[in-house]
Amino acid sequence: MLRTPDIFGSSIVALGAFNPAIFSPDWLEKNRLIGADDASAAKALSSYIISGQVSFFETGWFSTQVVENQFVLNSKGPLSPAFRDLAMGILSLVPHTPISAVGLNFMGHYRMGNDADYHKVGDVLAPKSIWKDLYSGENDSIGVGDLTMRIQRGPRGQPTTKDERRISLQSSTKLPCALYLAYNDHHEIVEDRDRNLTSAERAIEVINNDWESSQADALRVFDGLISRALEELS
Amino acid sequence: MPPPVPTFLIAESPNRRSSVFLSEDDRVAAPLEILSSRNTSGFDGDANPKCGRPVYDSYISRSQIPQRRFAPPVVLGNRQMAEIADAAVIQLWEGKVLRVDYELAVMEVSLEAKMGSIPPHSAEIELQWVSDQDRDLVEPGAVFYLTLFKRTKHGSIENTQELRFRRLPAWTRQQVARVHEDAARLMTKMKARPQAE
Repeated sequence: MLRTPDIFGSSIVALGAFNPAIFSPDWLEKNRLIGADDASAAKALSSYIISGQVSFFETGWFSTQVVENQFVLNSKGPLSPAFRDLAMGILSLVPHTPISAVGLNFMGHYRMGNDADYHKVGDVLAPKSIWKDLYSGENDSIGVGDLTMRIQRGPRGQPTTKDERRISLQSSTKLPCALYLAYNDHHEIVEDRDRNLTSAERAIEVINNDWESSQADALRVFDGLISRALEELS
Repeated sequence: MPPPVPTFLIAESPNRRSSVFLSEDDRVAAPLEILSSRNTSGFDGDANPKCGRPVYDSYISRSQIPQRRFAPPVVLGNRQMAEIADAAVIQLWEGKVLRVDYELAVMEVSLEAKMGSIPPHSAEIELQWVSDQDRDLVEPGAVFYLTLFKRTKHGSIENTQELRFRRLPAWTRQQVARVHEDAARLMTKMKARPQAE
């Protein structure tokens, strides 16, 4: 059974050429992607901003930020497939927007039982011996700030696709004695002329096909990293 | 040293455009009080023997934040993302409305667990658990997500649940075109009834 995160969220990011001004709570409500209460709540917050260059608003279960070259949908509260549906719904409203990449991102905060376990994970994943040779002073201490690994398909240095995954490890800034793990499933997007799909429609297809499996993989990898690291030194 | 005043930050890396999400403090410089999520201490070494309590190393007052100013993309480090997430799902069911009894204010539903290996089952859910904005979606065939989750906020943990109806994406242009194609194909196979002589 997989380790359960204490906090778990997702974001869906699309890179492309957007018109931020159209991304508003009213627009989503009019297209029945959110309810009237969500739209009202979004407009009531001081963070609500809609302009030609940027759109930002949030409800009780998501926030969205759109600038001219990036769309970000960020989950709040419990994560369910309704979040994926919303991302697909929004992009389906702009089928001719050129989109060049989609990122399916997941992040988890994992509380560790004690100091020793908390430090063990970083010690195993980023050994300190070389660093301690270089900074051997009594007043020097060495720890992981941010560790990111990149996973590509194909032989080393010769990736067969531009799609890739990035897994990051940090100390949690939200919970004490906790690890923060982030998973980025990056997809390059091109239109599919054979199937008459625009790049936005391809992006929707990627989100529909891969969001749930990426989520499952993120949970598997997060659990695997922590469990294996703890086993290594025990 | 105080961090630079944030403007609209866009995730870029020297090597590729990144689809990694930006942290809450990286987002649009809306009129918010922004805390940096940069943790000043490392972990897993001797750097932080006190087990890494969150350290917010800077505070930017509202007056320091430019209003609606746009700056070119900047290179960012990999900062912690989705700071607004505060919950973790314990169990998630995908439900389908089978029947609605408005007199008793209940809906009969089928539930399929999305986590673990719990067999599908049916249940009755009172309509009072459906939010007002989702009431018009309650009809046989409608899909919803029932989530049991724990929320960590301000140091306390609460277990609670959420029921959210699925709002289907609009049909894409390509889907509509495919329907037209299918209809046209069917039409070609249809023949007029022979007339009785």
